[in-house]
Amino acid sequence: MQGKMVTHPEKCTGCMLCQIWCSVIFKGIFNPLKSKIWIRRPETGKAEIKISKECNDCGLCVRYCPYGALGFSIYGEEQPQKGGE
Amino acid sequence: MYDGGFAGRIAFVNLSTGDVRKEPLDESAIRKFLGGEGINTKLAYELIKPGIDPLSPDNPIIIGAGPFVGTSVPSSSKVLFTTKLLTGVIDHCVAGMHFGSMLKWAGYDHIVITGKANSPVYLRVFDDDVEMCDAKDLWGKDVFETTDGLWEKEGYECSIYAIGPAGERLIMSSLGFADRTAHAGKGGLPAVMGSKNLKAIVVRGTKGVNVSKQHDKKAFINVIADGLYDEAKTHRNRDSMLEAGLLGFTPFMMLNYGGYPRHNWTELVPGDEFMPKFGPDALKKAAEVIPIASSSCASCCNHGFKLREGKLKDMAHSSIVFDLLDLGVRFEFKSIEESFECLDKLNRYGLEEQNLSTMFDYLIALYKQGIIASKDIDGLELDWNFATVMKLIEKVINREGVGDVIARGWPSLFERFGKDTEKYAIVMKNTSGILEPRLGIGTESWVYATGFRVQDIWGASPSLFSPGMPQVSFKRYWERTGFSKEPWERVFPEKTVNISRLTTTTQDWTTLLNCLGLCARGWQYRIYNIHNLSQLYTALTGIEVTSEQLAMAAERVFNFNKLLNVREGFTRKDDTFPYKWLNEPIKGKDKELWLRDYDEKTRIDPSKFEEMLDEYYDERGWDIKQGVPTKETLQRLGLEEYQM
Repeated sequence: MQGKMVTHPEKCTGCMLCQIWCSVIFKGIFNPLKSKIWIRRPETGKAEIKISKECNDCGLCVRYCPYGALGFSIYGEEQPQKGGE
Repeated sequence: MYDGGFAGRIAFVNLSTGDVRKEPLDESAIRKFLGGEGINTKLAYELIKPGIDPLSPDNPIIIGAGPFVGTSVPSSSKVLFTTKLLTGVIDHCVAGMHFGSMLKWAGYDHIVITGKANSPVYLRVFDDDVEMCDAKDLWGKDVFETTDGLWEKEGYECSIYAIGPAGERLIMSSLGFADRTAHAGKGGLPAVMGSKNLKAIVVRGTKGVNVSKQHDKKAFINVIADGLYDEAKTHRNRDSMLEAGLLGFTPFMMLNYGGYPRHNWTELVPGDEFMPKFGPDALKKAAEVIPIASSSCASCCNHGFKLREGKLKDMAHSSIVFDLLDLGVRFEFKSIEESFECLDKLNRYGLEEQNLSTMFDYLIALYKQGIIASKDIDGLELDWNFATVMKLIEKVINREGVGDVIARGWPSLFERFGKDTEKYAIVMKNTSGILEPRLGIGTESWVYATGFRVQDIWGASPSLFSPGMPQVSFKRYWERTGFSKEPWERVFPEKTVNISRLTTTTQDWTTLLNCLGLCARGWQYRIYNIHNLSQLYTALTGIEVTSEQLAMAAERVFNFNKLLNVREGFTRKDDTFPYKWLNEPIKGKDKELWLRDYDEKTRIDPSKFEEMLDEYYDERGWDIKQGVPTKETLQRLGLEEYQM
């Protein structure tokens, strides 16, 4: 069992790959706005990452995040609150 | 018919009249010139009147993002700004961050801006809405205040390319920033924007980019997923780069090859002297380094900084980490904190460090050698130190006295201080050199002499960080690109490398990356070759293209770009190296280093240089006497209709 998605905003660099991959696989178009992940990454620091309720934990974004900002929970790790757009 | 990758539209904006016209992107042009740089070059050929004053309202700014931009292809964020620059060349200024992707997601491959607004404006491109907005309150503000102000007003989802006071004041050595981070504009793109009263361009897109339906979308995804992603993350220098950008590993290379030039390119500072003060450890000690990625970048070299102590607490963010070392070593700064303070000032004004510091270096050398006196430079006393550099920056930005001479560029300096002083300047086609070829010549040095794109120097050059690599490394590089090996016997004679002939390939490779929208940094492009690129192109756009067609198109675009500049009057006479490189040695730690060929034995003096230039033109199929493409070459490349 792979567990639930967790985020590590401090590792996010704002490359948008998670969003671009999510949108092309599920909506057939490269468009971050159509993905199930919402990210705001100010140039000065830690990102805000929200994962939509519609996310099915498929793990694609985890696979393609080059910076380790997304992962699956292991015992004891805090899980993100789903519910973003 | 293409149905993916490209947004399919070009917007033409006239700032004088406020007119906005949108036209479809012509498929025949795509088939011939691929996209990105290729289409920008075609538009430049059609729209730039030969001999035009760069600051004239009619000089267009042509923005273009290739078919891969805005997709999940690794490192596909590059946008090109093409215009006639203040240096006199027509060049492509390349930027990363999210500007190119946003442009594509808004539904445009290209935007062409002409005319001049009556008062300061910024251009807002939100999907189908393209409009000029009042920017009076932003005029005079620095690059970062401008970007932050626009983010607050237009929303943080926008991408912004902004200029600072240097662009407004039409200074040749100006630089603009995309999203506060990625720089573009060397040669004076911001000054061209300033002359149009254009302070910034703000883009937001919600439409997205399609994958062609003509092929199974899995074909596209499989090529990328099948190893490209993992490979993108495995470069041996990735970790050090994430920690300290280019500064993370380039100083180590320089350490191996004799040092870094100072005192106007006359002596080398050994690495063990500058590393403790300006190397990656000093950087990490002085500041918290925050990696910032462009869209789809898996090994980013952009960074923001939070300084731990000193006058400056939070430096403006920019990707030009390497400039910290350049400033510190060249001008004998006391610490990296001084470099930070100086670079922060340059970034905020939107001044370009590399050209400007070479100009300052030249002026200080003239002064120290008694060729110019204090009275010639507004009573200033110059030396290689922080105070001199900061004073000169203020004079340039205020265009005051000698600062105005510097602001106008190299020709103005030679006019003021004498044609004879040209031999003290490291300058080619009115742009300064960056890297020292007397440490070891490579293709990056040769593009100074033969090319127009400043980006090539930092770009796709296999020898960039490792002069002296064995022949086999270059052969591996060549094989990796997938280009035809037909020229091998000429490029790899015996055990050495013919650098001038090899440069034709590295230039074509960079051209190809620029056409598609890919990053030209070595650790990014190494995952690509013409075979996987042609597969990606076909699957993404729906236009069938073979590897050979891709290679041919790259050569075509490079030659087309050359033609553009031939039309501006550039010929063999302009393809030169500075006097110093050809006629003087640089003092190393134990010995004097002369400019040498790749075999490390043959000296490149002026006559050897001319011989090498002959070989370069021969490899290109250009007229050796004039240094321009021949009729036969243009015919071979399908460019005969553009013959001069």
